Amino acid sequence: MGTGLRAGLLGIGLFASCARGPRADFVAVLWTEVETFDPAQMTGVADGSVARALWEGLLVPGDRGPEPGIAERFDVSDDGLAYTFHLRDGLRFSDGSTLDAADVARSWARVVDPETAANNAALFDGIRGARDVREGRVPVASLGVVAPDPRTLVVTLETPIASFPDRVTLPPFYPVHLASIASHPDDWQQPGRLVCNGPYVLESWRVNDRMRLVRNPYFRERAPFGRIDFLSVESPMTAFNLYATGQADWLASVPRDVIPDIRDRPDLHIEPYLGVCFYRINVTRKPFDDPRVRRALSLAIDRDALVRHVTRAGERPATSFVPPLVPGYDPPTTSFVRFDPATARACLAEARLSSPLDVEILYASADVNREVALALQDQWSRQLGARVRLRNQEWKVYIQSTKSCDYDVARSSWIADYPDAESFLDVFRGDDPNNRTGWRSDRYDALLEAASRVRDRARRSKLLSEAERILLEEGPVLPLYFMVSTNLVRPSIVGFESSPMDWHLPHRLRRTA
Amino acid sequence: MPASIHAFGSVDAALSRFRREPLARAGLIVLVALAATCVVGPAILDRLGIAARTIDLEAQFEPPSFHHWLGADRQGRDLLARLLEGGRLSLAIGILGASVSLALGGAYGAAAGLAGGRTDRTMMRVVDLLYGLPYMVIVILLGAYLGRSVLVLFLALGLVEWLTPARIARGEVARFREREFVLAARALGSTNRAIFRRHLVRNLLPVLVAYLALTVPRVILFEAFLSYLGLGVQPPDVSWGLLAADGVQALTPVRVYWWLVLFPAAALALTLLSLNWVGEGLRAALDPKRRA
Amino acid sequence: MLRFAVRRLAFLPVAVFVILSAAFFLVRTLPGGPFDRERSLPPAVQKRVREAYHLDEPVWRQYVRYLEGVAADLDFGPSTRYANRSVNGLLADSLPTSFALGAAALAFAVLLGAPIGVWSAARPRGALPLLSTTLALVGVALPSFVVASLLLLLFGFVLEWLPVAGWGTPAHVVLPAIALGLPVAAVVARLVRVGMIDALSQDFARTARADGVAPSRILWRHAFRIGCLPAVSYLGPAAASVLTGSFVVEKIFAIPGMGAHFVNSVLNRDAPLLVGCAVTYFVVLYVMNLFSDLVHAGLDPRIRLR
Repeated sequence: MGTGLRAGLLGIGLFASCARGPRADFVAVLWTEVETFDPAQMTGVADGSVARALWEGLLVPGDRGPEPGIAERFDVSDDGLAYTFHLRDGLRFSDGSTLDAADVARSWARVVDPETAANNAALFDGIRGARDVREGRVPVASLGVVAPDPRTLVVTLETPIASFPDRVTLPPFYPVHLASIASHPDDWQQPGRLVCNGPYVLESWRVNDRMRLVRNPYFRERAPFGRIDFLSVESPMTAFNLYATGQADWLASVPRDVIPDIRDRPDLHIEPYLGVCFYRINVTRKPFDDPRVRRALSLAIDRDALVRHVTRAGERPATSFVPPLVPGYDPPTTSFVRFDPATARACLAEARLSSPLDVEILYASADVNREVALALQDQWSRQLGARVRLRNQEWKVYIQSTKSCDYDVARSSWIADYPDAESFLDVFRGDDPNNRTGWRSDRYDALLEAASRVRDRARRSKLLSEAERILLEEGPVLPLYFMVSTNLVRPSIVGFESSPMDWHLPHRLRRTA
Repeated sequence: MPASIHAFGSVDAALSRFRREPLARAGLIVLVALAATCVVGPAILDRLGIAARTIDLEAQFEPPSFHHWLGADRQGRDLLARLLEGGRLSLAIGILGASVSLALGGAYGAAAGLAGGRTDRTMMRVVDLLYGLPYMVIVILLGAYLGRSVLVLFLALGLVEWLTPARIARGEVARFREREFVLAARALGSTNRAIFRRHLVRNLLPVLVAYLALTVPRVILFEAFLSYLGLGVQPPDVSWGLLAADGVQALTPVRVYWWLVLFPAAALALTLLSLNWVGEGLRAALDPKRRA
Repeated sequence: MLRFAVRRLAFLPVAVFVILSAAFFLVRTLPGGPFDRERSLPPAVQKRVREAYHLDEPVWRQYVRYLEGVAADLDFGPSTRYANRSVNGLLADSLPTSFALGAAALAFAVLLGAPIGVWSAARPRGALPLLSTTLALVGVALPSFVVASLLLLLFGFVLEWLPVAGWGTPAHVVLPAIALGLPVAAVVARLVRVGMIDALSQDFARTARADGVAPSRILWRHAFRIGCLPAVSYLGPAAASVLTGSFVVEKIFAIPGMGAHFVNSVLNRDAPLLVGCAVTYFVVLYVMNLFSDLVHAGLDPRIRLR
C-alpha cells in the first residue's frame, strides 16, 4: 500500500484517474458513501441498497411481503416457533463454490458470535439462544439454527415473531463466504476479492466516486444488466443534476427543493416510508420533567404547516410515533399529538411554572433540521409565549450532547430496521442506548417485554399499541412528521416497485427498448 | 521625530496619494455607504413593519414585490432586512476577525523579526508548520467547547488567518532592524522593547493596515465557506455568507429563485471588491518606492 | 542553490513528524468519536470495535503504534469510516484526481491571469485593466460555491455544453478547473500587474527602450522575468492547496478528490485519514514552496539562496 501512495505522490498515472472503463448499463445514485460490505456490520441505507445487488438472503423483500430468495419456500410450525427453509438446488457463491444450508447457518452464527462484534447482532434476538450467545453466556453452537441437510435450514425461535420472515431479508441474514473471510481477514471486502451470492459482484470501488458491479455468472438467473454503477454523490443537488442530464437512471433520494416543481412528473415516486422525524425531550431537566409541559409543547406544534411549507416533499403530519404502515399494527390515537393551541396553553398553565417557558432546540448542521427548528421556534414562541433559542452543533458534537442528555429538546429521526412496531418502540426502553432522554417507565418496558413473549398476533399488537400510548402521553417524544421515500426512476426502466421500507431489488429492473 | 526616518514617508503624504487613487476612493465611498446602510437600515425597515426575523410561511419564496423589495426567502422572511442584518455581521466578522489575525500575526512576526537569529528562525519555522495544520479541526474544536457564538467565530477566523500577517510583519521588521535609526537607537542603549515601541510600531502599522483591507475579504469568504458547511453563524444571526449559501441551495435546474442568489452575491461582491480596491490603494500609497 | 534545497529537504521529516503529531492529537480532542452515530452501537460492539482500532489503549501507546507504522512502511493505518480501507489506498485513489484537476486549474489560472496582468501593466488605461478588474470581481469577491453553481447552471443546463458533474472525460475537467482556478487567476493577474509596473519602471527597461528594442520583446523577454516574481512566490502555496483538492468544488461537481477527505475526515473523526491528508498536504506545500523559491532564484539574478 505504501508503494501505492508513493506512486500517487509521484504523479504516475496522473490522468489515468480519468479512465473509467466502459459505460454501465444502469446507473444508480446514492447520497452517501457505503461504509462496509460486511453484511454483519451494515447499518446505513446506502449499504443496504448496494448489498441487495450483491447478495441474496433466504427471502427477499417484495412489495407485498417477503418473497422466495435462495429459499424456494419455508414452513412454519403450528406454534410459530420453528421455521424450516427449503433452499433451492444448485446454489453457488460468486467464486463458483457451492452454497448450502450449512453455509447459511455458519454465517448466522458468525453474526451473533461476540467475537465478530456485529452491529446487527441484536436482530437475531428471538432466535433460540441468540441473546445469550451474543452476550457471551453460552457458546455459539447453542444457537437455534441447524442445517439437517444441505438444502434445509431449521430455525427455532423462543417466541413467535410475526416479522421474522421480514427480518430474514435483512443483510445480517445473508450467507457470507467464510473461507475468504478466514483467508483474508483484513481485506476480504476489496473489489475482486469480495465473494457474494447475489446477481452482481463488486468489480471496483473508488470512494466518493462509484462502485462498479458486474453480472455474477454463478447467480441462479441472468441479471438484466451486465454492468451497473452505484455513484455516491454527497451533494443532493449534484445528484439530481446527474439524473436531470441523463447521466443516471435511478436517483435513490430526491432533493426536497426540486420536489414541489416536479411533483407531477411520472418518473417521480413518492411513497410513505417507515421513518419518523421527532424531537426528543430531556426529562431530566426542569421544567421538561413535567408531562404537562411536554404535552403543551406537542399541542402547540402546527404539523400541517411544517409539512406544507418546510419539508414540502409530501410528508404526512405525525399522529403517533410509529408510522401507520406496519402490517397488523394500529398506532394508538391520542389527544396530544395534534395542533390545539388553546389546550396547549391550558396544559402549560396547569404546570404552574415559576418562570416563563424557556426552551433550547438542539439540532445538527443539516439545513432541513435548521428550518424545522426555525419553524418550531416561531410556533412555540407565538402559541406559548415561550422564549425559544436554537443551538446548532456539528453532527458528532450533537450526538455527544444527546447521549449525555445535554439539551432541552433535540431533533431526531428513526427509521425502522424491519417493518414492525417494536423496531420503533424499543428505542425508548429504559436501558436502550438510543433512549437518550432520561425517561424510563417500568410499565412501558413491561408491556414491550410482554409483547415480545406473546404468541397471539392481535394481542401482541394490542400490547405494543398500549406501550405507544404511554410513550405519547407521558413520554419524551414530540413526533413531527412521517417521512416519505423519494425516488426518480427513468421512464425507460420498468420493474420499480414501491415499498414502505424503500427496499428495491436492482435485478428486478429492466430497460424497455 | 522627522518624517524622513519613516519608511513610507509622512502619513499625510501617503493619504494624499491614496486620495489620488480613483478606484480606492470609490471603494472607500461604497464601503462607507454600505456600512451606513447596514447600521441604519434595519431601524428604518422596522418602522415600516419589516423585520428580518419574522417568519411568514405564507410568503415563502415570494419574488421581489411591493411588500418585499428584494423578495422573501424560504421562511418568508424579508430578504432586504436579512441582507442588512447580515451585512452588519459579515462586516463585523470581517473587520474583527481580520484585526484579531493582524494583531496576533503582527505581534508574533514583529517579535520574531526583532529577536533575530536563531529565535527568529525557530519562530518562523513554527509558522511554516502551522500552515500545514487542518484549520477545520480548530474551528470545530472552538465551536464545540466555547459554543457557537459569533464571538467564537471571530476568534476562530482570527486564529486561522494570522499566519500570513505574521510573515509580512516579520519581513518588514527584519528589513528595519538593519536600518540606521534602529542601529543608532541600539547603540544608544535602548532595550529591544523600547526600540520596538518607539520606532517599529509606527513603521509596521501602515503595512498591516493596508493588509487589513485585504484580509477582511478572506475572513468574510471563510465565514461563507463555514456557512456552506453548516458551521458558520447560527440562527437567528445571519451573515451574507449564510444568505449566499442558502441562495445557492435554492438554485436548482428546475427553478431558480434568482433573488436569493443575486442580492447576497452582489452585496458580497461589491463589498469585497471595494475592500480590495481600498487595500490596493493603501498599498500603493504606502509603497516606499513611490514615496515623495 | 543545491545546498539550500538539500538543507530544506532535510528539515522535511522533522516537519512531517510535527504535523503528524499535531493532527493525531488534535482530532482526538474533538468531542465525539468515530463510531458515534444517530443509532448507538450496542455497548459490547462498541467495545470490540474500539479494540479493533486500538482506541481502548492509552493515547500515548496509540501514538507510538501509529508512529511505528508510518515510520516503517509509510502506512497511515486503516480508515475508521470506510471499513476495510486503508488510508494509503484512499489517498492513492483520490490524490491523482486532485492533482489532475489542480494542474488544469493552475494552468487555467496562469494562462488567464498572467497575460491580463502583463497587458494591463503595459497599458494602464484602457479596456484591459477593466477586464482584469472584472475578473478580480468574480474571482476574489465571490465564494467558490456561488461561482461553481453559476458556472454549472450556465454551461451545464442553459447552454448544455459541458457535463454538470462527475469525473472521467476531459470535458468533466473544464468547469471545476475554472471554478477552482478563477480566484487564483485573479490574484495572479493582480500580482503580475504590480510586478510588471515595478519592473517596467526599472533602469534596464528604460535602457532597452532607449536602445530601440521592440516593446513586446521588452515586455515578455526582459520585464516579465522580474515582473512575475511576486506571482511566483504566491503560486507556491496556492498550488499546494489547489493540487490537494477543494472540498466545495469537489462536492458540487461530484469529484472523487482529496479535498472531501480532508474535511470529511474531521467531521467523521477519522483520525488516520485526517493525519494522512494533513501530511500529504504539508508535503506538497513544502515541496511547492521550495520549488517556487528555486524558480524565484533562477529568474532573479539578485537573489542568492543561503
